[in-house]
Amino acid sequence: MSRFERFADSFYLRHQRRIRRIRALRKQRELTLIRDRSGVCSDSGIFLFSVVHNEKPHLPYFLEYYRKLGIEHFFIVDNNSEDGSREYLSAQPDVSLWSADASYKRAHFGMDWLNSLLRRYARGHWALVVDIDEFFVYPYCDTRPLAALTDWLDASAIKSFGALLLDMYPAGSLDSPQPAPGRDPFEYLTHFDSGNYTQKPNRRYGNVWIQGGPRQRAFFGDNPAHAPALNKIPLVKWQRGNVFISSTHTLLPRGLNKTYEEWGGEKICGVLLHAKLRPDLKDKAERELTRRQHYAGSREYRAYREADETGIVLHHEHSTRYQGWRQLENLGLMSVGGWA
Amino acid sequence: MTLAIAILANRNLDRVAQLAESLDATPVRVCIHVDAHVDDTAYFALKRRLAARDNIVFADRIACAWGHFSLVEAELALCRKILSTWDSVEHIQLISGDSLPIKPVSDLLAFLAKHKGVDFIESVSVVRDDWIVGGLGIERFTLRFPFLWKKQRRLFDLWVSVQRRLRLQRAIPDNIKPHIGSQWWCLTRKTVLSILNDPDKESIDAYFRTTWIPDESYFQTLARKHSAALQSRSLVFSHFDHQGKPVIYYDDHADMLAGVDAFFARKIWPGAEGLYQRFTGGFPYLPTGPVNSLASHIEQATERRRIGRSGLHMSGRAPNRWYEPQPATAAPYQVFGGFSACYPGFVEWLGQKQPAPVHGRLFAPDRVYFANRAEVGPGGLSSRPHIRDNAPECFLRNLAWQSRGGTFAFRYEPMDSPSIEKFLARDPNAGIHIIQYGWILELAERGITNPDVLRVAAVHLLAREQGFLNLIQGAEAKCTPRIWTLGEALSNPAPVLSGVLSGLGVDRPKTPMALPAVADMDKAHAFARMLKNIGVDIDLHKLDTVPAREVNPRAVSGRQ
Repeated sequence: MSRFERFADSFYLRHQRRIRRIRALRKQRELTLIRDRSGVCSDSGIFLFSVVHNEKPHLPYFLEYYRKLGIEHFFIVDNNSEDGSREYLSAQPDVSLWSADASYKRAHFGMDWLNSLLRRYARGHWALVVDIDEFFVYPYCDTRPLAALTDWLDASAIKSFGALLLDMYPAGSLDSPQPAPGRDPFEYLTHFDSGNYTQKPNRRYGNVWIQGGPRQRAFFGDNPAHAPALNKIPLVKWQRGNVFISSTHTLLPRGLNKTYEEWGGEKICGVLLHAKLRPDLKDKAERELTRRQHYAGSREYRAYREADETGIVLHHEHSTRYQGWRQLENLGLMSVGGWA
Repeated sequence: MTLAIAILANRNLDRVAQLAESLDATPVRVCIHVDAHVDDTAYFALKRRLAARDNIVFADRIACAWGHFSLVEAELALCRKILSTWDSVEHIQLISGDSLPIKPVSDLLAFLAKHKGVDFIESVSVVRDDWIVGGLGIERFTLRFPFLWKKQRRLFDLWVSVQRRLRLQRAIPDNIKPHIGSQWWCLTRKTVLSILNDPDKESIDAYFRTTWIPDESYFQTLARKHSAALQSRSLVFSHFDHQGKPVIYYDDHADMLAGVDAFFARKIWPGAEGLYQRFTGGFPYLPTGPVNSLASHIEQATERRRIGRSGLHMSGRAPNRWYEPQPATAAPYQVFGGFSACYPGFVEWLGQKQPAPVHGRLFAPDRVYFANRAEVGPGGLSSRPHIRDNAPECFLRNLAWQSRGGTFAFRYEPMDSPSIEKFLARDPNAGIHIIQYGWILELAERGITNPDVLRVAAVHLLAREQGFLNLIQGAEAKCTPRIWTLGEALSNPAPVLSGVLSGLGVDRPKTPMALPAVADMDKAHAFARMLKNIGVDIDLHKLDTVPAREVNPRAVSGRQ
């Protein structure tokens, strides 16, 4: 890259970052505070940020999972829930809740709202930004709380933490009966694809675009380049000026996207277990298609609906049953990257 | 014999108090230095909590900065306080506030009683400076460091580079020989007294004041000068990672820590409740299960960070294309071109002869032919051609990763996707076996009658084959090519096929091996002549029968 190109590129990114931050400020007006309990937070607490839309059955386990990891406070935006999610969340002692009735899509799939909350509340904190169906797994997560990880990242001057979004699926058909709400979804979504992920470096933003997994295999066979991206940066030490660009795939400033090593070694990274392929997916696909609020013309949900008519079995003879983070580390889906 | 434990504390004073209280339950004396940067409320709370304990005292507080002489001053203050408070103290063990005893203190006392008058301090001559991980070596002693590394990093770096460029070096004083080692020592009263009362102390202190990280060299150097009996080892287990950062211990290290040959360990994560309970409580020391060595556990994590797993691409590892110390794939593999045409049933035959999976044409245009025509391959790889062609290199790398520790084989013919050619040629893990003109037999099977169509197809395949042969024998190739002519392969299959097996690590069988069927030589000849007649540039000599002893693969490079 010539010096001029480099300059033009960094100018573009700076401009992009400014636009996004202004956008976040503008979209802040769409947020209505329901309950702010963040006053009691400590200086070193780890915060979680998320957007919710009709997720009531999945909320209790979600909150329990992250409370156990040591999340001090949840900052949640409710986008038009009608199933009691809002009431449930506003009754939780460690949740601050906003509602946003405007378009999810036009708020960059909720990222504008989260950017504005992050800007106001997360500065100087480690922020975990996940969806309700994403469950964070990091090295030693069975024996060390999240604070052990963030302390170590601080000591190592690491400011962002990458993770692979790992789609989990059941051993049988996707439509098999659903377990009781509030249970661990991975009692039911037991399997995953262990090694069909592709990596493509993105020069502009400096991240690596990862695709693959069962969704690409089953729904995007003819159009693999449009399969959902699986590279995520869910955990960030938030600083003034940080901004998420597209979901949690890309951040600016772009140094935060470099969660990988280019010269042979492995940087520490984790996995987000993805509980998306639940039995209620078909209903959800119907709902979301009428709502038209998803990425790339809801292509994904359409694929689910079309494939759904024959009943989907994602399981195959090489499927791997989930056993814990050490297994994922051995399979090369995540890495301890220097953390002994 | 009495032992005093000197504790350097600068944060998490609750944990320091817990450590001091547990030490106070044993017959040792404890002296604590709390960094003057710690706010007074926390300090006085600590003092109050420990006030009733006679065997715990506090040294004068000094404001310490990392890598700076103030840390040595704090250590000296601790020594002075201990020597003036207790006449009976024979040994002083220096630890940090985030250390924990990992063996009963009674063991340490017995150990010191056995080694009366011995100083335990890691002390390595600086001339051999491989002790230092990530940082300055002898320059710690020959440059001046007036700036703080943590707070004035730019000035620090600038001043170091100015001194280097202007060759501003100062002489090391004659009366000391610089040594370096772990900060955490155990010295005898006599040695500490001699250091404190050194006639040259003033000038020595003045010198060390502007060296870099004197807490790792001041006592280490002066102990060499004054000690009567010195063992160069630290009784505190303190490891550094490849960035020179101390390794931190958590609850899951408990059993490994108990197995370490040292009396203390640093640094303990303040939230490691399990470690604090175990090592400040009743000391259930014996490991509860089989124990991995802590040092090798740390070494493994460091290897992951520094070198990583060869052939793996993932969220934390994406070697760029200029990175070459390791092959791009995780396992050696064999690629076969033209074999199935010459030897119908070759894939099945090879599958029987050796245990590694033998896939069909992985890069065929219509689909991926995994072994047994599986719809989904190892690791969940799809057999859909679009998915493979979206990222062919990732596809092959993933397949190799699934076979890590073993090997595999697949067919690659001139009619297959060319997108993987360069990758194959550049991969040192690839063993490429080609029977040149093997495609002629396959083309004959297709039964194309229109000579124009036949010519176009043949010219295309000929060019593809020649291009691939040039590539795998080219200057940038790193694969191991073995090339036979169709004539050799048809007239003398035995040497060709045993060469194939040896490439897969199967020894030459002693009994004559069962060979697969061989295609009809005459038919091949007739078809090749026909191709030549319709204008395809076929070299008919490549179809000549060759005597068995002259059958040798061409272009077998050094790697085998």
